[in-house]
Amino acid sequence: MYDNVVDSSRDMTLLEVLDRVLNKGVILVGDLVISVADIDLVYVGVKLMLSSVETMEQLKDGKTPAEVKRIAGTSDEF
Amino acid sequence: MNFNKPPMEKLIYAILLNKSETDNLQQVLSGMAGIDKTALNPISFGQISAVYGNFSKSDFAANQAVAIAFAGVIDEVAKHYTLLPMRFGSFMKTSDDIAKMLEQNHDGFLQNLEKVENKFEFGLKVFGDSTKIQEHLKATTPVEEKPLSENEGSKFKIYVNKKLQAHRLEERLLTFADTIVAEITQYLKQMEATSKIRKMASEYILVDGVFLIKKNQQQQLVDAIGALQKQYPEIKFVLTGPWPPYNFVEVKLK
Repeated sequence: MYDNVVDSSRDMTLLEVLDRVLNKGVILVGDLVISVADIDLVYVGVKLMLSSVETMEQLKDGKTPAEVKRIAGTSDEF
Repeated sequence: MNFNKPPMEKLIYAILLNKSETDNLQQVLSGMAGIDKTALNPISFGQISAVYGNFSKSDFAANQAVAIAFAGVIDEVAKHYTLLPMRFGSFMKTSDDIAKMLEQNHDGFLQNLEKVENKFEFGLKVFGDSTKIQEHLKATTPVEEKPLSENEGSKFKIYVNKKLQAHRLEERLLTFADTIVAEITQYLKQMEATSKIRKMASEYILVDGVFLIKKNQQQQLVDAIGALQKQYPEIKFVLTGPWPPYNFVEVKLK
């Protein structure tokens, strides 16, 4: 029943990893020489994560995953 | 035919504490692989070493999959050594440049490495829908409404009164977030952990924190957050880790 909760954990972990490698760590001043081409994907991750939090709330309210997906109009695909 | 190969530059993964001989580090790294199964190489100065891989910067694909692979390499090396992760995309032209950078920043790196030695980073996000929490707070402890007299019942006064109530609810939400932060801080104090905590990071994230704890305190932290989750079932505590100390690097490179 809680498949979506597992999915949200995966999204969350992905987001946490990207946040760390892209925004934290030792910085070479003036020598950071590449840019990350698909940075937008990080923001897609944020939206999915927030959507998953709402999904968790609905699951807690006793709705089945199928009902939640129908209401949200989402799929499990990332 | 063009025999000119693009120059190979050095992608640095991490700076690590290496109290043993460089040869041992070389041996450990030879059992691991970098991004795209490339070799990992060490360069050392004093008690610190940099781990890097050779890549052509022009051919380097800086995308999400590679960023995750980069994090994977750091995780793997962190199983064996205390390290400071480099930010993704940190290239230097030559190994001599890396050696020079290590030499110039040796003390700063060493100081930071000793600070994070035998420690793990954990992340904690506390999720909740602020609107729902406000509704809950309003229902459980209603905000006092000052009754309006006939003269005061103008549209303006009603508007001001509503705004005032909204402001009071906002204050209660902040107080609620403060309570959660205080509870977390109390546990962290017992563990003598270093922490960075942000309150109301967004409408959904009531608390966004990172902690640096001793490796043997991992279960204690998990238990503490588990206890908080039981105490506050209306919000969601998500703990991630253990991570290398990404959020506890404070080096100003020379």
